[in-house]
Amino acid sequence: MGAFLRGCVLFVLLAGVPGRALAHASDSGIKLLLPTGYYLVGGTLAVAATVLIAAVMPARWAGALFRPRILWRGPLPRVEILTSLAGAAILALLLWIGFTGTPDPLENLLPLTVWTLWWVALPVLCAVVGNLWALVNPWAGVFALAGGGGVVRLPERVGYMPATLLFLGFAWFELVSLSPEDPGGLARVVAAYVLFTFLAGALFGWRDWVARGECFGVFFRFIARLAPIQVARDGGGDVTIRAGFPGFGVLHGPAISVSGALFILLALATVSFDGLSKTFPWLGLIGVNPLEFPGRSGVVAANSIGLVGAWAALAAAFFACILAGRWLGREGGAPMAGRLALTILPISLAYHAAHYLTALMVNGQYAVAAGQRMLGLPEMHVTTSFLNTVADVERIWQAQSGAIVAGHVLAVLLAHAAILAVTGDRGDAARRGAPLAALMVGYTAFGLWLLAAPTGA
Amino acid sequence: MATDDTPRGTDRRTLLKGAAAIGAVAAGAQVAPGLTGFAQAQSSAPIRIGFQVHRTGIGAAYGRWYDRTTKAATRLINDDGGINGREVEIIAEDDGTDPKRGAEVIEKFASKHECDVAFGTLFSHVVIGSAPRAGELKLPYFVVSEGHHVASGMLNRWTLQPGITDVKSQVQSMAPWVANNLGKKVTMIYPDFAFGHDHRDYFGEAVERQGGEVIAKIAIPPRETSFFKYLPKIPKETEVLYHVMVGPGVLTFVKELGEYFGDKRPEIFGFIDSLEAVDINSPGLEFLEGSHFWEGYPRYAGPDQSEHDKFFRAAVGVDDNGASLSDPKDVSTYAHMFGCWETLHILKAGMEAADYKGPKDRQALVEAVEAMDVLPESRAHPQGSKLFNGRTHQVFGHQHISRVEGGRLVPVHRTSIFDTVYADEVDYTKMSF
Repeated sequence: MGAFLRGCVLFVLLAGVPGRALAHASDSGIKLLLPTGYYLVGGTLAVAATVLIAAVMPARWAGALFRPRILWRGPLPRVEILTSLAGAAILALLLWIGFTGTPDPLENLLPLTVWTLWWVALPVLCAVVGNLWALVNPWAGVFALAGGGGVVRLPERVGYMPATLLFLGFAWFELVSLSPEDPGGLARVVAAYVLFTFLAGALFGWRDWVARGECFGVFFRFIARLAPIQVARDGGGDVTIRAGFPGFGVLHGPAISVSGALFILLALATVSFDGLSKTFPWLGLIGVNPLEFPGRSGVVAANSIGLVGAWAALAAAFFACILAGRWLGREGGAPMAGRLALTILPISLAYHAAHYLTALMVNGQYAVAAGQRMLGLPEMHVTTSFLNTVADVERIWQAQSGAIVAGHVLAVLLAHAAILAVTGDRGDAARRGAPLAALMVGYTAFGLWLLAAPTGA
Repeated sequence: MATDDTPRGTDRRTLLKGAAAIGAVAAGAQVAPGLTGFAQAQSSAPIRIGFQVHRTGIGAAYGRWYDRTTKAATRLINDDGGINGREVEIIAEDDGTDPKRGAEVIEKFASKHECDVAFGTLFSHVVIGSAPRAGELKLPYFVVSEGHHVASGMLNRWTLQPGITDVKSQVQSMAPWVANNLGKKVTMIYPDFAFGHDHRDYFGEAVERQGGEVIAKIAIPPRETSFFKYLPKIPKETEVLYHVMVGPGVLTFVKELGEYFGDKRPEIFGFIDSLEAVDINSPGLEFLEGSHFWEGYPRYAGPDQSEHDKFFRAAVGVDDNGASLSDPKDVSTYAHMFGCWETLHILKAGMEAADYKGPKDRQALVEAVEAMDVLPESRAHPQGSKLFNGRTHQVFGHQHISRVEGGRLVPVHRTSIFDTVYADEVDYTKMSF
């Protein structure tokens, strides 16, 4: 217990350091007035300090920090069938609104729900309370009642590739295609994916397909492993609820294959590329005047290549660090790419939350207004004053940079704990983990730079 | 490009006629809304106006206020009985501030939504990408863009800009007051692409006609976000510094300008475009105190606020500082959004003059608008009286110069419409539909 508390204090200290620097931030010109450079340096140093502290602290601290306790175990009725059916009904209603409602993406509840509530807010919620998507996805309930399906086996060899490719398609749709928020177009894409998933589940069996093919199931399940509460139902139907420090699910759940690592790297690469694609250096690279953005139609080819290129670059860097670590460490180390890819998840979530924060603050208001309109209530005024007020922009920046640093600090600690669990030796773990730790320190700087950089798109 | 903006021949006669008419009407009664009379409704089907709005993309901040103003104007028109006794319905489609998407939206307005007209676009590249399709589909396209592309002759007879003035007229009209009140030796700082070049060219010519001189032209590469190394290029004998920086670097530019000059500085003149929706009171903008700005429509209501401006603000939901009544820190794009209000009222007037009944009357609608000239200041035109040039499809109006005093913009000069006019570059009325 003492070690756990010491670990918590350590974590809070490390993650809290950058907050001391003074800065303001903005979505536009105000951000550039602020000394975000101090945050960049301070935040990167904080993560670097975490690496050094982890290397010298007693080996048992890391394990103790992440050791979970069982809160409850016992039988629990399968509420997830009911919630999933309710989710299917709500989705059907949203699709109907998408097909027949207003074409205005800021007034139609389908794009507002999909892009703001589901894609931005739900991952953050899942990282706090657990895999809510498993409860509300539209397929699980139907398959539970109709039988799990399964005519053909989904070969082990393909690993997570189906989910990975589908996620890449989703990322392209979100970031590169011309009008992902158009209600009619979005309704068509969502309906197609829902139908496709029903067919795939019927063909390969829902159990296998949701494990390695349904790309959002895979994504939310990975993100939920960061939550301080982990819920699992075993074969006998009993539910076990474990609690622990956020991220313990990364260390204590099942490991994943290289193909699973590629999925996680894709998730981080795509959200990072979303940020990168709007920066002046990227626009300069593809020959676009940042003060005269031509619209998405002008950058489809460049951003398609960039999206895949970002994934390739991140994967190459990650696996290079894994190989370098293997070379630096003692002989006979177990393969760690899968387990260490899981430790990237806090970085992914942190950047996701930071990057989409202002979109949530604006479009979240539109979602509330649309709900009010549907219920016949007076609509709220959607304001963007917080993007043009220095004090508010400062708070937004502090939240964003704080999240980035906290995510990277957690990732460093998790990676160190993961390697320690395999090698047991503090020095060997430090050497093995050094390349990946360096990558994480560098990625802190990169993430903070992305958030602070002026945007032209 | 015209080399001489002095109106010649028929242009001058038309202008003088227009100026006299404006004077007479402005001195006398105002045109009350709905006074044109209610035509017998042939059909109770609504008039469908396709609103091409930047809901997402780089134009979203403007789109937000364009949308609010459009809704307010529509409410007003419908409360007054609609157009020809028919209710006005706005169908808003997001163009993503993208020209290809813009053309698709025009297509949807014409076919899927069966709109009578399209309206509302701001960003030039979207207008330029959409107008050809509107022309092919013979869909009247009323843009609210400020771009000179309409009057330049680049577009087609179906595209009109009757509700907002264009940047060429705005820029050139600044020269007389600037040259005679701020100084005749001008240094211009602008971003090195078309937008900045237009300012350089239009203002350069105009100030030379006033006996002034542009002694330095400092073109900043668009990718710059820090400007210190360019500031020493400002000649010491500069009397007026004319700046039109845009983008995320604007506030940095102002701050660095302040740090560079300190207390001893030339007169400074800029365009409010760089600070639309930004509170002038923001930290870092103190250096702007005492400097001057072009305003399309003064953001801060002054002591001689017209009743039409009062009405407009109340209808759209902004206060006397140009910010939302619901959130006084939510500053509107006041210099631009009036264009939607006025354009919708032009649409109403045009449809009533043409006795518009349906899509077969679209050509008659365009011709009716082409026949407009004097538009007195009124509830329909709160920004001020206007002169519409049917040949170039572009409206001309008063421009404003304001001074920053105590964190507010105080209007100090209102140009005549005369100052803003330039020679015709096209005659759309001679083109076929």
